[in-house]
Amino acid sequence: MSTPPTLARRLNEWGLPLGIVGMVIGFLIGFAVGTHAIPYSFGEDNSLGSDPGILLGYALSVVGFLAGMGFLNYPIGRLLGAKRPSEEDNAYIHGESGGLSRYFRMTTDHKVIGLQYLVMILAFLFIGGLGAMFIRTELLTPSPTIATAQSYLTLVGLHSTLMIFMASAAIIGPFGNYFVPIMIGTRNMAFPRLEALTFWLLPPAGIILLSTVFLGGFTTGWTGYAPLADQNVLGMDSYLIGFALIGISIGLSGVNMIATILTMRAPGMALSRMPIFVWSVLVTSFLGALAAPALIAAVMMEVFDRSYQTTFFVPAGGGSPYLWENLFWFFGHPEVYIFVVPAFGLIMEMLPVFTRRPLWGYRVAVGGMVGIGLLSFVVWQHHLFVSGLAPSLRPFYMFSTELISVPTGIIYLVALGTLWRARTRFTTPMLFIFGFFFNFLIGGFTGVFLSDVPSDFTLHASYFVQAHFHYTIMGGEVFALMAAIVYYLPKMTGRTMDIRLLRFQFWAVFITFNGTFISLISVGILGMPRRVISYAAYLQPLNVSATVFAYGLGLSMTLFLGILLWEVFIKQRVAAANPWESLGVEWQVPTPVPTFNFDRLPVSWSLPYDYDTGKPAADFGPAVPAFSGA
Amino acid sequence: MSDASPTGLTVIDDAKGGGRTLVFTSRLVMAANTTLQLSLLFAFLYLRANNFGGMWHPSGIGTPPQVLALISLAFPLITLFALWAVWSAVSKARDSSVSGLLWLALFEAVLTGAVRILLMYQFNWELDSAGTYAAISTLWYAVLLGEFILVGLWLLSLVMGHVRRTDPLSPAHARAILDQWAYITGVSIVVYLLIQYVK
Amino acid sequence: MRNRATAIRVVVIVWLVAAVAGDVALAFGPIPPGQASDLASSESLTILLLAEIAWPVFSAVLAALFFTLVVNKIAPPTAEVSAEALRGNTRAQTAWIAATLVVVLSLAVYGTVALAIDQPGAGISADAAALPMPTSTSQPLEVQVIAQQWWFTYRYPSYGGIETSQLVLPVNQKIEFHITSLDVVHSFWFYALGVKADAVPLNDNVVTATPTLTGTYRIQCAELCGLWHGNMADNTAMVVSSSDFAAWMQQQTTLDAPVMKYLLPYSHTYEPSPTVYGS
Repeated sequence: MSTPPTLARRLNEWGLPLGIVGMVIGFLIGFAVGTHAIPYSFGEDNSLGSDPGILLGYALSVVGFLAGMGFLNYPIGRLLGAKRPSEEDNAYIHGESGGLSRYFRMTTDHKVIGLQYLVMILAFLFIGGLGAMFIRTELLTPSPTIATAQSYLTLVGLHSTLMIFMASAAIIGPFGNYFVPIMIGTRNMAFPRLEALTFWLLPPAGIILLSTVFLGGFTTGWTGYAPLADQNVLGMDSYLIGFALIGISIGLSGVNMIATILTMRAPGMALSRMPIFVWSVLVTSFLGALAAPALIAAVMMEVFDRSYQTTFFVPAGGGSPYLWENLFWFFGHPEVYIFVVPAFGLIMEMLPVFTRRPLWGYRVAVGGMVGIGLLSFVVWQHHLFVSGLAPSLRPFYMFSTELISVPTGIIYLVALGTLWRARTRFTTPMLFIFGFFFNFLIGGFTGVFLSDVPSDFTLHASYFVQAHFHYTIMGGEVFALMAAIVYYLPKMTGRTMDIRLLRFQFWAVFITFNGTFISLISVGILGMPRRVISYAAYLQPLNVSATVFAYGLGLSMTLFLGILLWEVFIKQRVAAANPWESLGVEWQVPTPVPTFNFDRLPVSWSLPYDYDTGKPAADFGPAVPAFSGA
Repeated sequence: MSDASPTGLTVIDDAKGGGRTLVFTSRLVMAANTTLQLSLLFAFLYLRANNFGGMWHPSGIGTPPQVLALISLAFPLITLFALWAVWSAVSKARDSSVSGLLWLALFEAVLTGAVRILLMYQFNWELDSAGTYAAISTLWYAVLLGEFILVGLWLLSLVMGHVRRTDPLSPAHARAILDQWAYITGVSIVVYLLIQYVK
Repeated sequence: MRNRATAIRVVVIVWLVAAVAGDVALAFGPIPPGQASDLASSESLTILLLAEIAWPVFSAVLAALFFTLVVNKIAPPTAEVSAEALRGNTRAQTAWIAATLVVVLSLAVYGTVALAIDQPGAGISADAAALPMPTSTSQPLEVQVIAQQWWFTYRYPSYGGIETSQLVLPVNQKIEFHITSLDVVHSFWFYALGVKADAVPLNDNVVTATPTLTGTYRIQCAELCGLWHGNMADNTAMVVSSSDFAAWMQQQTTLDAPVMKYLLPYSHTYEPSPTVYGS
């Protein structure tokens, strides 16, 4: 029963090339209109164009990209009151035709979106990592050598912003999208087209951010403090639009996840039977949906400041840098919990599998994550302890920040409880999990020093802070990412990875990571500020040590990518159906996962941690249906 | 055991079973919107309280004309009433009045947009020396205009789908858009009070 | 079972030894930022205290992780545990949460008290006039730090508001730093004195500290402020005896005399116009 493909479907097939064409056309139109038709007050030396021109150009380039990809087909159809898409069209967009081309166009299958996210995350990770290698190379000497001030700061900004892009979706993007619908027993997300959109906002965001090098770069780092941001050349606009796109993606994805988890669970899938990973995604999605708008507000104000010379952040004109700092960090702090909470969830999801014991303290773990989520909204001023802002409020924020270590500690409590009498299977993911716990412990404790105001006076804005967040984000989330890739690769691609090589890679990355960042902790304690191209000469040995370890770290991460690509595309060894012997429902469904996840819905559900009884998460009922056509 | 998903969503855009999801999501979006509005509110109050450089409301900057501001509220309120009537009719399956009310709502929404564009130009966009009251007011008007346009486009799609009988209006959709429009109208009333009176 | 009990004892003893050794080592080691001012000493004490508490807890968690991963392999438990106990233990959970809460609360109280006693930074000050010349060392000497892209300058209102590019301070004299900026956000970081405060345009950020050790120190900018943020540092800040300070001040006043008439009158914030030269 196939009708000839409609024009819309034909265009969807060519989505990516059309999208790129649309991006270029959109940019040119926006740039032309913005530069010539939108007036702006006296501005900077803009031989390349004006801020409204660049901003409108970027905005329309995104619209053009999405139009080319086919995202506008459905809305325009609805606006014209056209007939709803046919079954065939829907099936095509859902990727039911199969094949590799699904991954290069707008596909609404959450499993395809999950793998698309994985590729994008790894791309951001490695391009950002190259930036880090450059930074560390420059810091081999106390004075500028290979970089100019502008190029150095731009690379600092690119490294950090790309990593922020990566970290905000590293776990939720690939694994949240792929597994949450399966884990709660539904066929797809609540708004599948919206989910595809949240992914397809990422490539333009990356391209726009990277295009800053053609516009002169930006010198504010990823925190974009005004009024320095007002001063910057056109390259700043790349950061603003790129970050805004990520904020929109985080917000929309958050809304979609919450709607899916709270309204689309299978019968019998009560909240108290939801896997802990799904809980972590739920908490994270609330953080994303509620915090991202603050970023959007701040970016809008900055856009106005740059285009219309408003004075939101310029004190002489009535504004204040503190306005940016408050709005940015009101978003920024929940953002870092967006990074880490899904990692907690995924680690706790994997622990029972490798310890062969139930999760110890499931309720407490859920409570801990909810506590982290709630508290994360009232700690943001700990980034502003030395700013001169509201000194009488500092004790409150010190208290709230120190308090957040209690629910975070609960994660360790649950982990220790699960591990306590367990005969742990030392699989490769378990190695990365151990690395996670070690690294995050250091990260968490360094955080305590920063949360205390008197000690923060010395440690703020030094490399100690740098090491703190690298320990939590890279040592925490990225290690969890690596564990998850190794753990879930058999499910997502049907391939397996070489154990011995991976174990070597784990030790390489663990040792080089700790070597790099222990050097940086020391350098920070000794007084080196962040984002500097030159530093006091006596700090050179430690910097050299950090750089040497960092090169090793870069090589180990590249090795991981190399192993991954080689195994998936070249070696292609087929994995067993459930190599880790997990009881989770995602392992009970066949590999490759059916288009709509389930051929039959389970008749009853339980927590997937019953390793003492061996009861799987989902009971699909009798093997043979009682009545045909039931 | 039936194969159907519990919410009835077997096809991607089958909204019949997904009514509950739609209304819930509409409220979620309002929650997210609230953080956006609160950020703008924070900016307004913070800049006003501090009056840095005396440039919050320098001389020469007036408040927008009261008449225009009131009209900018009247139109969305009429739309709101029309949308409420639509929801009422659809949930009681009184189909006859739905189309007419939808057209009324759409017409008023367009007028809302037009007036709010006028309102956004009150400070002439010569904002470099106009101080922060003018800046935040213009930005807030622009944001509200954008939101009215987005929900207005959604309304247009509902109207077209219903009138062309390709997608008859369901109670869930009517409820969802009523909630959204009510929220934005409520916000614009608060913004009106702030910009006209709190200054 | 005997193996396991021994193993537990060994791990606990190793932890105890490591914890005590670490804490003792910390007490003798140099703790940043050092003792060069009363503020720095207080910060050092706080960092030491945090470290003394953190190290045993940190090593305990590590020991527990080690124990579960290694000892469970070589001396596995043999006793049966009920299904309920496998899934949680309310008493253990409550104890852990309570313990962490107590530690956190005590730290917060200590930090608040330390802040209250030191009053290191009064934050943005009201637009008061400059302090008069101090008559005793406990009365503060006002020193203004002006940050701009990309260097720091210092003004001494008690000495006629002269502006210098080198910071010299008398030892054992309470200094009240007023930190402001002329353009973007910078941050004045005098590591040895334990002073770090953001320099925000049109804002006056106040920090007090009393230097207690003479010497030459480094000052750097701690907030990304543009291209040469990394170079916005100098190694010539000095803390000297009061007689040396008076001599230096005399020298500076003489040097500055010809240009004093071009300097703006002293105020807590400045608003340079982008179009008027020398404003």
